[in-house]
Amino acid sequence: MGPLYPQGLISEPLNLLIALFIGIGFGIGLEAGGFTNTRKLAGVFYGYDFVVLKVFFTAALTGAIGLFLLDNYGLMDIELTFYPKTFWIPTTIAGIIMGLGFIIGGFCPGTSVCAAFTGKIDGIYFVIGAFIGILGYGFTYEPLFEKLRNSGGLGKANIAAELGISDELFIFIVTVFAVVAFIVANKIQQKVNSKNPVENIEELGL
Amino acid sequence: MKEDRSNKYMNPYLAGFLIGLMLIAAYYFSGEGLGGSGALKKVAIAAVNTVAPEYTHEAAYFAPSVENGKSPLNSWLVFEVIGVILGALLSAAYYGRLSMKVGKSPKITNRTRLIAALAGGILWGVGSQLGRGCTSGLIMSGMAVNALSGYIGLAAVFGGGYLFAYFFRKLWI
Amino acid sequence: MRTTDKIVIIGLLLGSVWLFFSGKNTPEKGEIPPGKLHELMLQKHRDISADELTERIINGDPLLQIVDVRDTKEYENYTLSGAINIPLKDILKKDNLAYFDQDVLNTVIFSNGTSDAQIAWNILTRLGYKNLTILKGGLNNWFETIILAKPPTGPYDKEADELYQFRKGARVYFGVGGGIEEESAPKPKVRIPIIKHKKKEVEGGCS
Repeated sequence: MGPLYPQGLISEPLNLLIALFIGIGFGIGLEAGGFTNTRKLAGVFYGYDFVVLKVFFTAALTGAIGLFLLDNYGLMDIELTFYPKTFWIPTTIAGIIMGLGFIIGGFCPGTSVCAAFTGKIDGIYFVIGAFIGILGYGFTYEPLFEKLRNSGGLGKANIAAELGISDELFIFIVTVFAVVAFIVANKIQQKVNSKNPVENIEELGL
Repeated sequence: MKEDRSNKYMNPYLAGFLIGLMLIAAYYFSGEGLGGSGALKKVAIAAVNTVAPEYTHEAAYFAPSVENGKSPLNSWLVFEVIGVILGALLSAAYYGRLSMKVGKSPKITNRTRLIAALAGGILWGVGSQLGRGCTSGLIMSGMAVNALSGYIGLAAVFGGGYLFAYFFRKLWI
Repeated sequence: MRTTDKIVIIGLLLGSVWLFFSGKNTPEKGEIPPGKLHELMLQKHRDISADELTERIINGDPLLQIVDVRDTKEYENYTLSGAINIPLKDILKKDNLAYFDQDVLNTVIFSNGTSDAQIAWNILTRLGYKNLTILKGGLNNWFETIILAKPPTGPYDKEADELYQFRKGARVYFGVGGGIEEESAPKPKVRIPIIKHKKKEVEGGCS
């Protein structure tokens, strides 16, 4: 019964080997999906390419449906996994900072690593920037960020429980919402690209 | 003549499905979510630890990653990101996208694009540490287990993106 | 829309519907399935005898946690030394469950001539708490065995005599000298520090 490693059912070296293979699958998904192309990523904010929305929601929902199915059939216990704690104040502030970083930099950390190692020079600059940001944060952590980072703590909060509905119902609602969003996004994308297409649109491989 | 696939991409839903399967595997085998910035953090800490080990054992941000005597690099997320790099290389080689170039809108110069990328990276570096994760670790992995933090992150990152999109449109369209 | 798009999207929708219905038929999270419960009920270590419990109390076993599930009135009247009172009707209250949410202490549950201890054991076991035992025969039996202990009859038997001497000694320990049957003063309630159940923390995502 999963999760295997936290319960000591597989060894540490095997766990790290599995990490490597999971990473390979993740990397193929990101690169093949077009996430090393910064223009495709930024498209979600301007309506000319919604690949981020499609890949991202499909991945998160596949994960959610699969994990809760495993949990319901007793094949794994979600409570034993890395279940993120919620600190709503720093997450909101940091989220807005990252949103700004997304619009300016055109990547997020995972996609920038893929881009940098497949020869995108802008990806390399982004990764360097991320290191500068992390070190800057690290060196100023105690005076500047420590208090903020630990404010607004809500523990291991589950959104379905907060809304007073079951995990299953919540995932179903998000799935329906996502499917509607996919259809609307396709309409917007067609409209934007037929009326006022971005230059060199063939690079996006739509 | 060899077919040019460099502008071809996998069906986005299929790519999402593949990433979703990896997410399930990560939770099932290792009890972990997928991450990106966590590995960058470990590399940064390892670098500082090599230069100034006394400092890293004292400072509140660095100490938790170095105190058990093991290298900060010996972590699940670092191995996962090494895998990500290998996967991206495999895929880019298959599609014929392995070449040095700057990805940008044709309307801006390389210099503008690189400065913007650097600045965006810095913002993500700070944001991912303050917010306990990036798009993959905070939002996607959080959403997969119905964590409230994942949805707050989703609203804040994409809300923030749409909020600022108008002001930076010259970079992209 | 392309065919692949449709297949994945319909797959997601069907998956979420499947998930929705799979949630209804499974036991609540953390509950023990019937087969496992049956196995736990039949295991030998479920009960503890009056003598064994007495010995552990006298030895001051630091891992022993005694829970009296009778009413507060009965508890205040008389109870085992060191016992805490959690009336059966309040057992599912959060503060009370905290006493069982640990895997260090050995908990002995008792009541008096009713099946209350048994009911408490069943509820707590189904909730997944461990190291639970029931005092065999309840408080009445304990009182009869230890406090009202009678010298062994019949031919001399070393073992029986030792047991009797032990019980007589225990009687003194519990503050009743020569077989007095009246109820003693309420015992001071000892609060045992709660050790919260800690799960192995997994190193988290990007943080």
